[in-house]
Amino acid sequence: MKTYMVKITIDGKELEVPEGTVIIQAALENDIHIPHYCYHPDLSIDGNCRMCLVEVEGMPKLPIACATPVADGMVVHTKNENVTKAQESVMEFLLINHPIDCPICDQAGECGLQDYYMNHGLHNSRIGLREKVLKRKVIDLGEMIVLDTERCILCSRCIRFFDEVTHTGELQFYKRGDRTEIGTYKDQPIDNSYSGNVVDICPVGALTSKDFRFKQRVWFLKGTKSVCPTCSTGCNIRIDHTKGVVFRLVPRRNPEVNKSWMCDKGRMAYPLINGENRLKYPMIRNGENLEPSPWEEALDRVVKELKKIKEESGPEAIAGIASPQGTNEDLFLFKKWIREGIGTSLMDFRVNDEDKKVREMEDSILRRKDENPNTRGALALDLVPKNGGLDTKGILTAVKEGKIKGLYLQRPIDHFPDKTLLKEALEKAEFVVMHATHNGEGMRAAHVVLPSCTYAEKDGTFTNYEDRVQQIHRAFPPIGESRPDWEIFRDLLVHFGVSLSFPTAQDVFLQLSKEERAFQGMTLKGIGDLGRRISS
Amino acid sequence: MREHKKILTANLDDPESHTLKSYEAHGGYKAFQKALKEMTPEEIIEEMKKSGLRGRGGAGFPTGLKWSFMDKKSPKPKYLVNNSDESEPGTFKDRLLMERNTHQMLEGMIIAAYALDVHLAFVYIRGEYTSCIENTERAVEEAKEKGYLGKNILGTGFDLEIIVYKGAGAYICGDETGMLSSLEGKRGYPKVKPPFPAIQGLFGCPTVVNNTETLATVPWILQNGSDTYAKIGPEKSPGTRLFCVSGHVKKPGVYELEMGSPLMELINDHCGGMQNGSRLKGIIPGGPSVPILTAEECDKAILDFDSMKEIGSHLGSGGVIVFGEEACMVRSLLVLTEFFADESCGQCTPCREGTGWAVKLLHPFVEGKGELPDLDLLMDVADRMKFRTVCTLADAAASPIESFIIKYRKEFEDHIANGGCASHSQTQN
Amino acid sequence: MSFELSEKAKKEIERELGRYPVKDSALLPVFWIVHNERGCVDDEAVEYIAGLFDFSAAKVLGVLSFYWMLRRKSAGKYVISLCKNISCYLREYENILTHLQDLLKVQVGETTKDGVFTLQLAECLGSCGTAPMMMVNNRYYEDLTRERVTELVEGWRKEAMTNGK
Ligand SMILES: Cc1cc2nc3c(=O)[nH]c(=O)nc-3n(C[C@H](O)[C@H](O)[C@H](O)COP(=O)(O)O)c2cc1C
Ligand code: SF4
Ligand code: SF4
Ligand code: SF4
Repeated sequence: MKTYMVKITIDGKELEVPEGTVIIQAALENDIHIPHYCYHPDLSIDGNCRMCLVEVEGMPKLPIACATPVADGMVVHTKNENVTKAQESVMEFLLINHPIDCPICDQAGECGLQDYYMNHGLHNSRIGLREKVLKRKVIDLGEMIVLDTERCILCSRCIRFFDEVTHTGELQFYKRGDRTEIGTYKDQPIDNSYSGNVVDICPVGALTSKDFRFKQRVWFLKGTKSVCPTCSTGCNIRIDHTKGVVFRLVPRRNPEVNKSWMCDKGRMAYPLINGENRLKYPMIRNGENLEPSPWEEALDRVVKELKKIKEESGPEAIAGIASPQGTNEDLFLFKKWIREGIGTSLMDFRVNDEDKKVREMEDSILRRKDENPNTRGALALDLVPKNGGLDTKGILTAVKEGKIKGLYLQRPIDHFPDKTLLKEALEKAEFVVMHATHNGEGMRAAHVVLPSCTYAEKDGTFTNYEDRVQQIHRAFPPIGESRPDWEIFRDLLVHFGVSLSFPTAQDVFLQLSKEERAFQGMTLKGIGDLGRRISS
Repeated sequence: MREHKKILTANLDDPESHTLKSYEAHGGYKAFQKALKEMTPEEIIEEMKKSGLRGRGGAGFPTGLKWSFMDKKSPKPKYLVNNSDESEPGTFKDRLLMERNTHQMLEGMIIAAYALDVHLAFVYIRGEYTSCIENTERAVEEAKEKGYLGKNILGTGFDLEIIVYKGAGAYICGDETGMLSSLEGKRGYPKVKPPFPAIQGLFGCPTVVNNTETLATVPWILQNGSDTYAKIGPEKSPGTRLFCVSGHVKKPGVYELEMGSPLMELINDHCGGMQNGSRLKGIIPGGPSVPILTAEECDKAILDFDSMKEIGSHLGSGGVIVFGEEACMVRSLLVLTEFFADESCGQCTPCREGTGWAVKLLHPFVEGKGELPDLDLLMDVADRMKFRTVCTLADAAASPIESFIIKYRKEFEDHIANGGCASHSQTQN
Repeated sequence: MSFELSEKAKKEIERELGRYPVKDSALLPVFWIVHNERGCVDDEAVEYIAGLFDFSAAKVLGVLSFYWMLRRKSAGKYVISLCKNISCYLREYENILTHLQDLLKVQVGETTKDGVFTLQLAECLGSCGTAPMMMVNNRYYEDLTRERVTELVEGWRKEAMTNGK
């Protein structure tokens, strides 16, 4: 169906917007902010808060901008005296029964009411002093959420989320009028895989995150745009952090990918970044043990051993297994490293059918079965064997049989299904190099382990399940002496005589977009905040 | 006493008036046969338009026009809902119809359904009205047995089923979209408009909601002709209307009067004047959702939609509430404001918080602890809650606050000066 | 769970569930069937009904609690709902209220110790021409006087005594 454009004027600004859009949408998309509580672009329209009242010339009453469709020639005022008075009235009404406990409220700093109260309400005896309808406070709603019903402004966003997105309906209003109270049935805990989202969409401090509660005032936090690496969906997120510590992950709106949501598993994956067990230094095997060592020494060792194998048994005695945990930049240089550095095409990235799972849904909302952010990127970069070449299983078998002697692993591969083969191969291998972000069992068989930083500590791009290339940004410097994979490959390549000038991940991308067909013509600018799909 | 035409209460002297037998004996169930056999839906709607009938549910919206808005082209099923929720304080006329003239209401529904291409209609009756529910259910059975409802009615090929639906106690379900939410098994929240029910109503299908009295008037119009109807009463508010009189009159009750009658004719001639020789203080002419009239205004008031509007009130629900001099207006306002606060569905911020706030502000006045600035604050709260909400309950709630304080301000001030209600004893509690 | 409904109620529920264009409409009718049989829609009933409709229990309770007539806990055998709205106020329902409180020795919202009466106030019940009035269970008693109320209450007391609660 063809969409027609209509001309409207908002606050004197002439706009052309598609027919059928509501005023608030038209305004927000054109950077005109209309205050609102209940409207949410990814939920049905409810029109209950009455905050987004605007004046439309020719209409006798102030209509709500969230439910009024634009019409050709419509003239809208969002900031005149009538509108301002209506908005202030709504906020005053909301504060009548509000506890005004900002100093002990976790939402402080990102609360839709607090600003108004600070500016107008503080000295207003019309609110504040009167007896309030008392409701229940601090109700534990399970793993993720704490509820304070007294702070609730009854916007129904959370209800609509559980009704429309998860279809689980845990939160509802009870009773009516100003006795209306939000809650679960008999205070039962909320147990669904997306519950954290209601904390984000609650405009006040009624639903707060149990995990984040009181840990940090939001105004001390810095937000960095990123992409969730916990599955192949690639939900857009923001990493909230300070001083190299991540405090929370929140979804960043991308209508094409995750709307405004993310799953709880992805949300709660952030402690991995802060983890005690992060690998901070290169490690070199000394008998039974892995011992920390300076980078120089570790790299020298890798170069020496691999060169030795290459010289003695030829490049075909070395194979690489990449990881779809890495960015496109990491993988691009991995490929270069194996192809041009080692000089072989023996490589794969699939350890456990990632390529088959990458598009399969885990549930009917967002989650996918493939727990890697960049499986499609690895496929687009052709990190799979060609013409009957050896796949991961084949490589491991060849290692076991002594045909392959050196193994380069971008990540531990203990999730390889055939544990016996894996064990036998690793025991047999002459030299195993591995990158790892965390100390773990998987490092057991390595001769050298190189510390790799997490996605939060580097720039780059992931390609999600639908071939959408999306950017991640460095929130803070890598922990300890860890480094992005691509930097490590770059330096190894130099040792093997391939000289590259890639000071930054952006430079790598530029090269990648030139060399790799799938990425041809893409620019980081074009990818922007919302990503861009590889054209098939 | 002046004679009034009786359209809705002509046969109520018959103790069996609620039965199909009695209704037919008095000429009932002829109009719908004429409609189904001789008229097209368009002709019926045209007749309704010409009759000038305006809805009796409160807003006075022209019925023919409302029917013509029904989205006829929609491939979805269409529904008719008879609004028998009657919960506006002081209103008890639909109850009379359901208890005593049930079949006239049903006949009106059949005609409306035929005109609107409806095959499933609902009578939504407030849950408190047990006798009405039982009566209506019985009447539906009677009509079914007679072949007036069901499949292929009287061989015309028209099917209609009527379901009696029992509410469970919520004034807001009288609002047409609140009623639809309730029928959909949800909390009775009124819906944001547009879309209007005629386009997207019950389950998203085109729906017409009409008041019980409106529907009960329909058979008479078809039977006697729209022009005959249009000639009764004033041109723009034709017909008769059921007025429910309560409060300090000698003979409270439901009276059917022609539109355009003077308010005081209703009070003096029909209701026998004030009880116990009391002096009139004021009258709410159409349920508490409309502004009160002072005694002086009452003298001039004419009972039709436009005249009422001219003197600053409304015909509303037909609930005429009479205040004698013994009534405490401060306490009365609290009673009414508490009602709106109790019954606000609570969706919209201004209504939910405003009604509750007003109640809190009024309490001290009743207790004799009121302060003058709070009187202005009350006016301001009323002003800030109206015209900004999903349904008109907030406007309705503002109406007594504003009209009582403006028109009986002295009484509020006296309460402050005297530390309570000096003139009457009804200040306890 | 000991939740059991009579065969009759189950049949009625069955009928309601299949009666409407969208099943959800049967929610209120089902509330009433359960309420008529048990005198309330308690938590067990809420959970049972949620199962019938494939709703969350929260959704069922949300709808239930919207309507004043539907109780979550059982009350006295005779639930007296005295109208407190304007027409009854003008006709001095408060005299009837104090009288009822004296007779029953309970406050508004309470149930007598013997479990026979619950006293509550109601908004307008549509009986304004015959004010003051009260609804007892589902019947209306209009044009109330103190004498009439005494008579009624005595009658119910007797009946409760002879028939048990
Ligand atoms: C709060 C509120 C309560 C209402 N209650 C009733 C009611 O009890 N009965 C009724 O017929 N209309 C009531 N209405 C009006 C209905 O919304 C609707 O306008 C009416 O049923 C239309 O019927 P009519 O066109 O025949 O008048 C109410 C409106 C509001 C806002
Ligand atoms: S808890 Fe928050 S999101 Fe939910 S209704 Fe209340 S204010 Fe809105
Ligand atoms: S769905 Fe996948 S990408 Fe989205 S938040 Fe969950 S784990 Fe992360
Ligand atoms: S105005 Fe009041 S009753 Fe009407 S929808 Fe809003 S809150 Fe509910």
